[in-house]
Amino acid sequence: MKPEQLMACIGQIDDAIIEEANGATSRKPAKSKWIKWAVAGVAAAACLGIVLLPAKPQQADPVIDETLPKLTVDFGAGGYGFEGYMAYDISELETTNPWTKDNNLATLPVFANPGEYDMAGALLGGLSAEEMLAEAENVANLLSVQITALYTNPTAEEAERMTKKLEAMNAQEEELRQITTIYQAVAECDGAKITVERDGAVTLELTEKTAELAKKLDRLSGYDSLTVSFDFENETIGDTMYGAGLPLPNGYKFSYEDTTNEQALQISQYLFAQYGAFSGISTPGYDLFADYTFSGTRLRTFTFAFENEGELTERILNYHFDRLYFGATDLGGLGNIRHQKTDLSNKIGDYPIITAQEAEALLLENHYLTTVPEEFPGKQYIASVELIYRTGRLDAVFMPYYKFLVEMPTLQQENGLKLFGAFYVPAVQADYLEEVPVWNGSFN
Amino acid sequence: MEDERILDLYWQRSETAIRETAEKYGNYCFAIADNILQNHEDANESVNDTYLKAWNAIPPKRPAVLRAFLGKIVRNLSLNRYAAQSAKKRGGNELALIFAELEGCLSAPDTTESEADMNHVAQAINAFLLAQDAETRKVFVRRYWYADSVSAIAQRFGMSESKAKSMLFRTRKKLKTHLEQEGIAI
Repeated sequence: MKPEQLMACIGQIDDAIIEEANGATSRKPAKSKWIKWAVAGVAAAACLGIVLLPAKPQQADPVIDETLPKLTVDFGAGGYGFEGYMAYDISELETTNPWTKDNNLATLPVFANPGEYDMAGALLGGLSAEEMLAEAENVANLLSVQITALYTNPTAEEAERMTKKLEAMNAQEEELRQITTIYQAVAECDGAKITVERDGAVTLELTEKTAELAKKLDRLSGYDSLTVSFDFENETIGDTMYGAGLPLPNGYKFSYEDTTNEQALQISQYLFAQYGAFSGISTPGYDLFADYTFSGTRLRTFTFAFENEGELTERILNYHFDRLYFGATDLGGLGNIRHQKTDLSNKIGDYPIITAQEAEALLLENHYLTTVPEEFPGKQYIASVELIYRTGRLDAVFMPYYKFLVEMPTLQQENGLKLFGAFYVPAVQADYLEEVPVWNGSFN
Repeated sequence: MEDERILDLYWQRSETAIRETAEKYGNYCFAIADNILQNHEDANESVNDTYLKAWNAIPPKRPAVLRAFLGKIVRNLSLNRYAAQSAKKRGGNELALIFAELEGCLSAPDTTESEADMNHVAQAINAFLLAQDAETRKVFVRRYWYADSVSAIAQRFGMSESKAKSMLFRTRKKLKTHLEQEGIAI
């Protein structure tokens, strides 16, 4: 072997080992397991310092429902990066989460994620090649468009060829699976492209010629995960190429940068009225969340609508698990519409939850989870709290947490922007957790 | 911005994904490329190529650890660029040193391995590193994955250069023994 080849071999070591050497964690990397720790992102010199302690029963509620299985706090696999938001004032980071501090919620449901994923984040199982092809044809039929080409990626022939080649090289079974799995079916139509992924997600790419099909989305209301993208001609400004997206009527402004809340609400209401019916949402609430980039640009990556009618628990679930997104393009057009409804059929049970005040007490005792590369700075820096469900597609369990945004005094920017770091405390009572997180005070 | 949000942008085919990637991981990628290529202009090109590769790979990929995913791309691209430059006799002195050090781990330095053999070696190296103590592992990875200079490693871990060199020397020897014990003659 040549040194160059040995260098290439070293290049294939596990991500966890690479991350560890970057100062992102103080734990020993696990062997062939999900990476259980989150990694710090922006200029991170510190690690996520967490140990998990066996949960001790809380004094407030001695009656334990033995029928509810204990939950494992599964944090990190779906939320990489240093989770921090920049704003001049915390009020700029408000969401329209239906949860409010003054509520009488005693329990909240917890669900198991029906999807199982490999180390690379690819779904294990899911639809077969034949099922994906059938779904692609079905979508084309529902939209009354003619298919000009129907195939999978990779094609069956390509997959077979790769399998033979890898088998001849004595490739491992896992490697073989990763490389040769057919991951999507594609139906090319005249001016439109339909893609179906193994998790059942459907993407419909439309051009100027077929943009009108977006008005027929009610025909696809049976699909829980549907993205419509407007793949219009690109425009080159300077050296950069931008996607134009679907042009919007005069008076509407929608882009990722520097769109005001009023403009974002106005355009979201307009888009919902035009395209939202297929989602089944009848009384929409709108979330317009935006924060700032380091350079001070207000950035809104999308807005979304959710069903805001019903009991509080129902609305909280809708807000987190059934969203209709509208994505802008850099040039102020509509880039895509995406309906994402998470499969909540695997309900584990209704779990007793603690109050926001109790969660704050736990936060102060260092019972929190975070990816912020700094120590919790103290009670006086707590800026806001809301109850959220972590909804990462790789999370094993969808359970509620209290999310505290905490001003990080050492991370304030010179331009006056404050950085608010996210600190999480499980909302489920500790009696129902296998272990409670405790920040262990160690940084690399 | 969280990686999940950046990945969403890639999946939405928004060019903002590149901008956010550059803002968050540009320095990280540049440091790896610059370590290998020792030339700012080439390193910048390598980093830009990395963004393009990431853009083409996501979707369908949805990497579990975006930073490591980008790091692997920029490392590979930079090593390829280095190889091309070596033919033209320019750049990359640190890497020449690293290659010389790695030769000490090789028992048959003139052979060319198949891809399957290389996968086998990579797995053995992975297992070897997991068996080391954290500091030894990190120092090795900083030198031979990130291509850090010995002085940068010494500074990073608060040790003298001679200690870093001696630690790397011992680890290379142990790696060679480990590979031999695994029946891998490289």
